[in-house]
Amino acid sequence: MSPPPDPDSLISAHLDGELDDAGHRALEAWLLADRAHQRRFLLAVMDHRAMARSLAARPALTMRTARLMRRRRGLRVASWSGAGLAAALIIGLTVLLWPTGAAPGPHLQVAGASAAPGPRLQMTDTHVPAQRLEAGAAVTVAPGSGAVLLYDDGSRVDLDAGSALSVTGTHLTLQHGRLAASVAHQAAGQPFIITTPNATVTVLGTMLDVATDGVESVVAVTRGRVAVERSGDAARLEVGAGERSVVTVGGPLVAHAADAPDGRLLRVGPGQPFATLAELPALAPGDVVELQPGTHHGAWRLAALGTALRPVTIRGAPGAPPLIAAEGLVLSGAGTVPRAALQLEGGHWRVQHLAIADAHNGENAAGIRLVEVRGAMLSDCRITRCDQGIDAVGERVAIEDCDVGGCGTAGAQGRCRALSVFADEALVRGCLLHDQLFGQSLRSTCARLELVANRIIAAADGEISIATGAQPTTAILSGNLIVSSAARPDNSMRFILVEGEGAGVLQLIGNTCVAADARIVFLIPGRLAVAADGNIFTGSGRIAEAGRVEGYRNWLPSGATVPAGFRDSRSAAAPGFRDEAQGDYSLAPDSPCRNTVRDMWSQDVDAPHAPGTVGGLLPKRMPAALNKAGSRARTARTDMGAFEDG
Amino acid sequence: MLDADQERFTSLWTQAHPSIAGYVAALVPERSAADDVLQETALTLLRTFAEYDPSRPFIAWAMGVARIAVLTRRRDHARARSRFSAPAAVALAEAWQELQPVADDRRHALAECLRGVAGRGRELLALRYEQDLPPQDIAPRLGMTAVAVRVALCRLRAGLHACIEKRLGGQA
Repeated sequence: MSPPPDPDSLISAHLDGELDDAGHRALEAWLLADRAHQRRFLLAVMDHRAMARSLAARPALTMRTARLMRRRRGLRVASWSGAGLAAALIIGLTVLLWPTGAAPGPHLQVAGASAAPGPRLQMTDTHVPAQRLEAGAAVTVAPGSGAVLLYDDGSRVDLDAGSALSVTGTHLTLQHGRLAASVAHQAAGQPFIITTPNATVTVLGTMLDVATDGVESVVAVTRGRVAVERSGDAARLEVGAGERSVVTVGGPLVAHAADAPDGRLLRVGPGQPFATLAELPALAPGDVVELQPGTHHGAWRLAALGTALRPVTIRGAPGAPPLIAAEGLVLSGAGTVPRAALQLEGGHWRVQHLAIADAHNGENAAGIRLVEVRGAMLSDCRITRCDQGIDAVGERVAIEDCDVGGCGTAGAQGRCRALSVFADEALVRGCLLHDQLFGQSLRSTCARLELVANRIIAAADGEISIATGAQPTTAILSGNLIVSSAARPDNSMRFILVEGEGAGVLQLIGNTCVAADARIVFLIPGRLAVAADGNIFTGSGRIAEAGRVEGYRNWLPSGATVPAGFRDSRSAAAPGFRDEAQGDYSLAPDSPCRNTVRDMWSQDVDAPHAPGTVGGLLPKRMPAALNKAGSRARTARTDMGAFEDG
Repeated sequence: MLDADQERFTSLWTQAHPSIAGYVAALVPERSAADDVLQETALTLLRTFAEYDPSRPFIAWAMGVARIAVLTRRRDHARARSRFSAPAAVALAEAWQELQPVADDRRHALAECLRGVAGRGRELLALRYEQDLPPQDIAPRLGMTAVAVRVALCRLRAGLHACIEKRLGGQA
């Protein structure tokens, strides 16, 4: 394994346009660590440009020519090991590969499947049989999916979505992502080895988690002990049960209690080291900012460079969530004034257990605003009485178990949202978005959106809007209860609205969609191809506007206009909710929607969609996010709609 | 835009251009992409020139517009390639402005230092900067591996930096 790159190498690679993502992250971390680093970098840029000007013997290339040349040059930095790459080139087996560019990527790509002895790879969200892997097999787990490696000695390694690794028996090389290993006792001299780009973990029999973002790595041990060796300086450390170690470039190599912060614990509130968030020092990766219970008046804008593995955390102390109240402030976003009660910029963040209220500027002040973040996880937050609830722009955003309600302002009629997300990937799970004033519950401008097990209730002007763009859009709605308001403006009959000319797929599995007005149209699909399975649509017979809409075994009201692509739909006088008047949309024992879908998550059962159709291209799987939410069991026969009642 | 404003904008932009171009190049190493960002910056400045407050430095305003153009490009192309984050772009913009006073002296010192580069080093710089070749295309011409070319380029740049600092007496 090569040593970690030094700053001069990173700068030089950057100047030559050869820096890969991991190198870029390392360069940025180095730059933000010290003003002198920024000057060193910029002087190198200055020299580089001066040499280009003084030495250039011919006119600069035209833009078109330069682009063509770059295309011919192709990839410059390989991310796979030699063995993995060779295996990928030689064998190249892909499981469940999407056959069209408009469809989402595969759950799992495997290069190097084999009938020979070796660990077996099983996807965790389908019935596809496990397959043996040969030495050097390269495995990529797609977003929203999961997989497990099963060894004959009982060892197992669970792979998170988005992980990439190569597998040679008991030697795993994790390029990026996270794995959880439970390793049976290994014979002396034959350890189980997990390598990341900057660390090697040697295991003799234990239970541990290993994660890497390609620059730094985290090792957390649940049982037993492991040896960790850092690449480059060969520094070694033993990590025991209940301990965790972060392996960084040049940082101290130490282990600490797994439940302690990777950085500093900074307490904020009256009588604490910091009275307000404004008094905090510059935040570093792994820092945890803990607000004490009570009301914190004001609004704050924080910029920090947390990493994927060591995000900066802003959380409420145990007990009642502290309230950030921005009442009386005009959060204009001008200059240093934030446009939110809590505005977080850049890097990776985690926000937990906070209440936020009264963020206003008459148009678009948010409770929480994320600006150009690399990654953010918001959980257990309650936001109310703001112009906007959560306004997120970034690469990867996850929002879980949050309650956002009563937001909106007349100054932005139709443009207020409880949740607005502009990201590469967004996951919204287990949230309550409700009573949105003057706008919709959720607007997404994401290449990939997963809405799982949410309650989306009573927005003034439509429930969900999905904006498409140049990149194909994948939107997956699964296990959600979506209920429209009875008090909507007459001119708004949209429920799920797709805007824009972009292509892609909208998949609805097991949602309960309730319209309070018979004129409402549930699906306005735009150019997205829609596959809807096992959903309940009630309150309106207008299921979908024109478009490529397919469905299998959905419940529709009697007399509904059934889309031509719907098969085996079910209808009755009512879907049989327990107590609709009281907002209980679970299914009564005699509901006709009970046990009507034979394992809607299965790849092959019931063959609901013919090959070549939209549904035929989609995975029949339980999204990993829904599976983890535990909101419904995986049973042989499932109920229609968002609730599984046995 | 009135002719007088047009003339004033042209004058201000001409003065600011080298500095803005350098800043954009620092954040966007691909030349054609940097050209696109620079062009977008100029168009935005021209379109919004009526909003410019002449009591404030034009270059600071232009740098802010360039930073937003870079970040917008990063967002629009985020799935294709990583770029600097907003905090990094802000920090580099501030540092870049601080360095502008030394730019001319540094350029002269670099020219002196380049005279001291001969042999294989000179060949390498010629292929990289005169021919605009990437390391993997330089490698076969010099009978080296691409990795060796990258290492040699890195050392050459570090050596030139040290030479310039010595000539300038560490003033940068």
